[in-house]
Amino acid sequence: MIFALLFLLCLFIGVPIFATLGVPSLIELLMSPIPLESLAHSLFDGVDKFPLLAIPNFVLAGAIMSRAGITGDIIEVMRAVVGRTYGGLAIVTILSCMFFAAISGSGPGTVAAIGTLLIPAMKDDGYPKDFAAAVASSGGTLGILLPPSNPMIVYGVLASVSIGDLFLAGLLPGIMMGALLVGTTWFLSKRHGYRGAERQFDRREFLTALWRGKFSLATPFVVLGGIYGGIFTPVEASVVAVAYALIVGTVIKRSIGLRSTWEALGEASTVCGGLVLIMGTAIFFGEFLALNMIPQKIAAGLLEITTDPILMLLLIAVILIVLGTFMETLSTVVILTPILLPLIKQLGIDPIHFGILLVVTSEIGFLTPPLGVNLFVACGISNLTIEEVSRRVLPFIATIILGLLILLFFPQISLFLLSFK
Amino acid sequence: MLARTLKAFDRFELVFSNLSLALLVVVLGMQVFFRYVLHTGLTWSEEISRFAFVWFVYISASLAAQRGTHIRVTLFIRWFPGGRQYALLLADMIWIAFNACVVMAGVLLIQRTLKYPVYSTALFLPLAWIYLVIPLAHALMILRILQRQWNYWRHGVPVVASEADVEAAGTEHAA
Repeated sequence: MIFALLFLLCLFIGVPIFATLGVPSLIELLMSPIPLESLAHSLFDGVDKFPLLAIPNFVLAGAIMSRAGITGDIIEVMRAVVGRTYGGLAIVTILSCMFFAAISGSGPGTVAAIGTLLIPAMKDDGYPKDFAAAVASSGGTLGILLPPSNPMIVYGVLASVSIGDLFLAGLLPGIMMGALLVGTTWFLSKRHGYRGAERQFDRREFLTALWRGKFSLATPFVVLGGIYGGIFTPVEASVVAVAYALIVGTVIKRSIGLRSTWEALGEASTVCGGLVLIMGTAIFFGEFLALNMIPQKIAAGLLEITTDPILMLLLIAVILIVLGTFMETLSTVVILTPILLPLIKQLGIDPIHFGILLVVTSEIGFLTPPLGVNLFVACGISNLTIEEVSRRVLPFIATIILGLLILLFFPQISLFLLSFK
Repeated sequence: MLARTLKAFDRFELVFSNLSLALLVVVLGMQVFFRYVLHTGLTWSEEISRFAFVWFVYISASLAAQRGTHIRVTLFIRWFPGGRQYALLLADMIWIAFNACVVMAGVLLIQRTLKYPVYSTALFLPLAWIYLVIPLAHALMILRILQRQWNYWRHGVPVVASEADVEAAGTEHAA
């Protein structure tokens, strides 16, 4: 009880998450005969996990791609494909996010890469700026559902589930969610009469863009193809992504040099700095929870409400969406995985299916204020306030909730591709 | 001279984490190259890249402390008696206390591994030196936390970086 209060106090007065996870566990450690040095050992071991190496590499790959103009190439091809439909450029934004998501593992990273180029473009094309920012924020959520995905890597490590399997399971849900978001974008654009000055679909123009961007467009196929083909492990694929981006940028497009590469490294260091070390105290926290039987107690409490797997997943989804409004995605995954996993297994729910649902609810967390990281990034790009963008983002949140329900009721969508393994 | 040293120290974490990330990419790249092109494995690449990663994670955490980008829940601090700056001051004090315990734990761990040496499995590196990052990075982080608090009370630079952006965006629009 004291520990729970202490934990909540730390959380609510703004102690960084990694220290918040460490404090109650540390106090218990100090009161026990276990030597203090085991704390340092846990912090080291928690981070010393090979699969985690993929996280900074995918961030770095994304940072290099934006600087090398690979992202720009992808957008050009999408523009040529979509042409002059209702909401053309907005649909281009979602499709480009999907493409970029298949290279990057981060939601805000995807908004930054695509939004920086397309929010101003949409505005010039006559779309309202708040709508443009909302589309980019929503498309960016696909960054964590379409593999590779940083939260999936963290969940895989914590839940001892194969990260390759999670990546395979995320593919169909990601494509489905992308299609739903495109549908919403089209519908909203048609209702409000948003139609840009894009030209009619022109086969020649399309082929030119395709040819010009061939090396850039190949990137997701190199990365995901390598993983799905069983050629590369996720960590190896992340390094291949970095190497491929560097080769395209320096040799083929000649658009980056040492300076841009150094800047990209700096971006990866800054982004990962506050993030990955949470894994250090997470393991420590997980041991503390297990020692005090906290997952079992919470499971018992939740099982009193319902023992039906579907209702339980709905209940957990609601809790996660509420937590997601003020908690950052990775921290939610880190804190809740050890708490909820025993319960999930007890109810016979596939941990991979649960992992996908966890990621989809995290997507909603990216879009809900007060702490919606994707909104922050889109607001930064468009100079709008959170309030203005969050109003326009509501239909997209509804869309993702619809997608969540579909995935929740039909686990086959996540698990289908795994049956071919 | 002192000013120059201080300026160099300001860039320490950034330079160090960039270099360690570059090292881990190069080593892993070699591993992939050796396995798929030359069809021979490297015995040491996984270990080196893992150790480079741990150093990267903790030194870049100090970078995040310097820039105020650590992840915190800041929704509720506005209702803290006296105002948000006191909540963050208290939070940072708890954070410093936690880090101080980690530094102590790290020093104890290194002392023990120096006395009863343990070596890594592939390269026989003495683990004591690898463990050094834990006390070193957490001590650095304490300095960076103090630096940020100092900059707030002295120059009004916000403790949490993202709040600066959000507030700036808000006021800009209101004006």
